Amino acid sequence: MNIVKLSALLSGMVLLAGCATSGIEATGKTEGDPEYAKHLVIHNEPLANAITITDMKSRFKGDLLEVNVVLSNLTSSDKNIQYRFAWYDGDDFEVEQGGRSWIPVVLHGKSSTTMHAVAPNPSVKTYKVNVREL
Amino acid sequence: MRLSEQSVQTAAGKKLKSAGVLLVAGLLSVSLVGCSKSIKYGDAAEVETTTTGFGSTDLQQIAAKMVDSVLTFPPVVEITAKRRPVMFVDTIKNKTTEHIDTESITDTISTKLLRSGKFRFVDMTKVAAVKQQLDYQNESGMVNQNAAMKMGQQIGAEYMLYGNLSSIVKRNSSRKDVYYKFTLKLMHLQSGIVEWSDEKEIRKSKEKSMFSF
Repeated sequence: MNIVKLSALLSGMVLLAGCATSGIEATGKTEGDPEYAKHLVIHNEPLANAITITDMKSRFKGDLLEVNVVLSNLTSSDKNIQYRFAWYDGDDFEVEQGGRSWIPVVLHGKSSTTMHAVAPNPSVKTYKVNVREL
Repeated sequence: MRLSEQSVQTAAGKKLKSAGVLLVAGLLSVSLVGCSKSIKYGDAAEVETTTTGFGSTDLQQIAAKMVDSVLTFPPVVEITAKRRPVMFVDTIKNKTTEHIDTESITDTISTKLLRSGKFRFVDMTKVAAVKQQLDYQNESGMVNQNAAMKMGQQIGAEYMLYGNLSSIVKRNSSRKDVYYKFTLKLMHLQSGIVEWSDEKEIRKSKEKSMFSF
């Protein structure tokens, strides 16, 4: 029984070690060159092979920036992921730092989900969304 | 003969003493190991999945959804385009079986709304303290009346924020499922019309592990 417990613990540790804290980072800008307005940085290749950002849209609702980022699961198995938005003003200073927490989401096999967020105040001009495994 | 007996007793005593020292040292080392806990700071924004009970991630998810929703609701966008309406927060009724500090949820929501620059708030939990201070300023004779804050000049709230938190808990021998539903409403106090309402649903489940300790 002890061996079973130990092996269970070990496999848990391996799994934990496999849960990389890094993931995919997407940045969107409302101003400047449209060619560079959206870009993606992949810090975790295995995750990027399983899930991908298929669309990034933003608009102003009143004077607040509203963002929709579509995340798609390329595999047929469910993925437990988490995401977090961060906001930056026109001078690239982070706005309301730490105001957004990581949000867990279940991404079903071969399906998409929309990550939606609204800027905390009208000074926001750039957004960043980080996606990583839960 | 006596001497040899004594020496035997002394040797036995020494052995006992050293055994005692070893035991104390052993216990001490065990207790020291027991005390060597590492304390570290964590990320408050991290997803927390310690139990299926209401946690920090639930609070943060609810607050984010409600604030995003109210700030982008077209009639509210129109109302807040040129002025910052005054709101007050009523209690959130906790209809779950858990003890949940619902004031903490409304505190987060009202702080985010205030910091958006779209709304202003009156704090009904501080009415007694404000009254006491205004009485002191206006009636004690201690404060220069040119600098005293006058009574009867406060602005009345135009909107009230209120809501419910409910849950459905189901369990069987291998699985526990908890469903939370948070409902928030914004009422115009003069007309009684509910201008905005939204819900946030959260499902949390726990499977009993095969190797339970």
